Amino acid sequence: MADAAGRLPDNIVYFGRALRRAGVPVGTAQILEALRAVQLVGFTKRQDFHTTLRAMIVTRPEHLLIFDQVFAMFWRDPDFLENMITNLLPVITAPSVEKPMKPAQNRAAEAMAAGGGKPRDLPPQELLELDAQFSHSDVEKLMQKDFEAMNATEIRQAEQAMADKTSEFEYSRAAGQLAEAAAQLRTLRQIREKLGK
Amino acid sequence: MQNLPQSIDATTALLACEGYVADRALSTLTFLSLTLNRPIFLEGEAGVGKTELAKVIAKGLGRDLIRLQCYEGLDASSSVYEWNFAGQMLAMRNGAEQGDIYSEKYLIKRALLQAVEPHPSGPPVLLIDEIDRTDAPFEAFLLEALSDFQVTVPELGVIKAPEPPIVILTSNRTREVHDALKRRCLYHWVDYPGFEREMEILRARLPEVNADLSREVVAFIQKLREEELFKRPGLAETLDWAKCLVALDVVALSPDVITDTIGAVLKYQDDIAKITGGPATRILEQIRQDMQAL
Repeated sequence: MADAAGRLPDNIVYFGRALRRAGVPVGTAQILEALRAVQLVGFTKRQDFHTTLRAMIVTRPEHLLIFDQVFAMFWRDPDFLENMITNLLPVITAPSVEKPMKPAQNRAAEAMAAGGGKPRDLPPQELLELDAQFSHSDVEKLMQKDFEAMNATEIRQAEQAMADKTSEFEYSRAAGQLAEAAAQLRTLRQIREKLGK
Repeated sequence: MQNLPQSIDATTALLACEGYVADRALSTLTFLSLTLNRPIFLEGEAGVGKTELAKVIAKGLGRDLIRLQCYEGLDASSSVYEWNFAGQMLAMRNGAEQGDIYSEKYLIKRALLQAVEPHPSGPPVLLIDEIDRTDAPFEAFLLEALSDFQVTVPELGVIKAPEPPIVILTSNRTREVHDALKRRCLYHWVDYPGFEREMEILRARLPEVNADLSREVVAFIQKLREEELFKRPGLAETLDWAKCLVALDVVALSPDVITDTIGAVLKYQDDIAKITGGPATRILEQIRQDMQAL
């Protein structure tokens, strides 16, 4: 329990970064005060925690939906990082172009996948599960050296494309690419670490 | 003077004592505001109970309520203080010294100055209502006033609140209030209540309305909010309408009753013309069917 309390500040800071990536402007002062509010009040209910953070951070009704989405993904219990890798990837890659009606959800998903939140360390058993999802040849392919470089280039391209928001279509495609690449990259690193390379 | 509530549940109970049915989020917000000394910023459609919250908190805690109603052109002098110029002129005629003229005797205290003065019943509740009606300069002024809770009267010096007042700002969102101000507050978007909560509120506020009529009124209003209207009816309209119906000894809604009393619910001629007659009857039939299905 003490460990969980110790991680709370980190988690809130990462949460703030995830929100910022999703397009909700969050100042450092707000994050600090949100942390203070949460610690001072001391919660037992998830809903109260949600209300407190929202009241301290959101200032516009149009940001409420994005906040709720990011919150749902970020504080999803208990293994949110694993969930993110396995669940979010399909959500944001394939249908991101055809789903313009849910921009808040997309942006939230992108923000999470783009590395907004990564405060937790994966325990070994989660790595094993991750590993089990790849066939041997997959792992071999992933181990090839230029794959990561290629991914980094992809990320750069995607980021450039995102900076140029002239058309809605380009933007959502680039955002999808970026999210996909970032998530792949992270999975790769974990597999490498696990194999001791 | 009553002590501040020590938990979210206690806050809910406090608000409920005064007939205000708060959802969990609003109780949490109120509790936080009281604990952290942070202003509450309530935004939402007209008539959803924003102003009411301030009144209820003041009443529940036994504090004074100071209300600053905003309007276009409101400036610092009419919100903080003014000198009683006519009184000063008269005093000078009677040979008063300059020092006497600028004394509290001739100071007209406005809302913000009143709010920072010591109150025997504890820090007051300061309600800054409809802030979206003011202009940007006044917002900037408020920003300063709310961060220090002190007011400067050049002739008298600085007046600082011994304890910060409980501040509640409301906005109907006719324009966007600057983020800098909102960031210093606990922001909350107040939505129309759902069926259950609206029933609860109606029960709490108007216990004399019988249950069947309440159910019909709330169901009708809830359906009405789904229609394409210029001004959708708020909670205030629900309560007004229920009061009207009780005064008219109505026991159940009928198309005629609705036509006669729709003015309590819809405030624009276009909306009234749109709903009266066919659509009202259709909604009424629909809610009757829904109720039978239950």
